[in-house]
Parts: sequence; structure tokens; C-alpha cells
Amino acid sequence: MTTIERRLRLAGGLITIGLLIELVSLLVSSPTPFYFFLFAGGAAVVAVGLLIYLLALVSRTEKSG
Amino acid sequence: MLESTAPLIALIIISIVLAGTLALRPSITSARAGKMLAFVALLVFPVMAGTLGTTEHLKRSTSTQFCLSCHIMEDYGKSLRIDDREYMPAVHYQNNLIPRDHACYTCHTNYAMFGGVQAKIKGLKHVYVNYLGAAEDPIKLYEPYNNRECLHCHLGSRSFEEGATHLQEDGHLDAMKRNELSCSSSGCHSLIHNVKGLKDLPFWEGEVK
Repeated sequence: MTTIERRLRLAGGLITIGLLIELVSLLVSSPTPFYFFLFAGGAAVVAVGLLIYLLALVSRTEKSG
Repeated sequence: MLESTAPLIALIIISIVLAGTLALRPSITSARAGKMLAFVALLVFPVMAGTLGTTEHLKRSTSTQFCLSCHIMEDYGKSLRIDDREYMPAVHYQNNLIPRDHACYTCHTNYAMFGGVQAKIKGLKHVYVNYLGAAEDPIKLYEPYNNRECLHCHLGSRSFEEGATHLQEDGHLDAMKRNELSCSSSGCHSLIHNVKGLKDLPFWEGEVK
């Protein structure tokens, strides 16, 4: 597996987790899921996943493993 | 509520499937089509889902149901049904003078610039106090209620500008407009939620439409 593939796997995993949190948070309308989504879902995990994907795009591809 | 968010939930599920596929099989990006799929699955769809999800959450956070979902707010919700026209929140709620679905937010948001942002920051503090602190009993406003919030709707209305009591003394009206004479704490419209006295008050049993 190449470095870029490892980064894509990590990005995909984080985005999946973040979106799952967002999905669950939307099922309940109360303050706790709202803030849980903002700080543990959309604004954090998905954002980190996006950054890792963008990093994978701009970084030099190297063969490994 | 779920009906209105069905398209958003569908978008999130599709995004999860696509991002999950990339996480399980990143090698598909070696082909051109795989690279395009990765761009959509790891950037376009998550950004759309995140933006729309945040918008939906922010919209919900202005609803009466959202505010009253905290136990400490229950009595404030009950006070909206006090059967007495002297009670300001009740008369506004029962007569549709404010949108019932957004009753709390309509009167308790700050109509100055960034009022909505300030409300969210205060909301963070409320969640913290709810779980990790101790709320005051009864809860109190952070600062005295500003006439600006009343005048957001009432300014220019005949009942406000030409009200007999408002014109009774010279300068009253201008003092209210400058927030120097409080609408709510100067003895005129001073019956607000009164949660401590709820047990002795009659309630409107009508259906909320």
C-alpha cells in the first residue's frame, strides 16, 4: 500500500466516523447532540479527514511496503 | 421533523457509503475513475453534508422544542400557557404575536449585530452548566432585558406609539426607545414567566395549532 493510499484510508475512515456522528445527532433535537455534532462530528472529525485528503493530494507520492 | 431532513439524511448515508468504500479499498484510486470518486467521496459530499447538517442543527436550535428539552426549562414552557393576559410571554405565545415554534428564541435573542452568534456562545455555557455546574434557581438573565428586543416588533406599531400609558408623561416614549425606561421592569409589563407562582395560576388548555 502506498503512502497516498494509507492517507486516503485514514481520511475515508475519519470522514465516515464524522458523518455517522452527524447522522445520529440529527435524529434527536436537543442541545447535547447539537454540540456533540459541532465538536466531535462535523467540525472536528470530518474536518480532519478532509485535511488529510487534501494533504494526500498535494504531497509527493512514495512507494512503501 | 424527520420528513424535512430526509434529503439531508439520504445525502449523509450516500456520503458514508462512498467514504467507507474509499477507506476499505483505497487502491481503487489508482485508476482515473477512482481518483474522481475519491474527490467526490472525500471532499464534495462531506463538505455538503457537513454544511447542510450544521445549517439544520442551527435552525433546530432556535425552536421552542429545542429550548424546552432541558429539564430546567420545563416550567418556562408551562408559563407560556398561563391563562392571564397580564403575563407577557403567555399573551404573546397564545395569540401568535410571536411564532410559537420559535417562541424562546424570538424574545431572548439579541437583535444587535452578532446576536445569533452570542446566543450560541451562551448556549454552550448553558450546556456546561446543565451537565457540570449548578444552575441558579430560578435562572436569571445575564443582563437586564433590553427594550430593543421588544421594539424589534413593537416599534412603529400603533399600540406602542399611540398607547395612552406610553404618552401619559412627556419623554416616556423616548426613554423607552433609548432603553432608559424598561418595558418589563418599570412596573408596567412586569409579569413575565413567574415560574415560582405557576401552581397557583390557571392555564390555557387550548390546542396549539
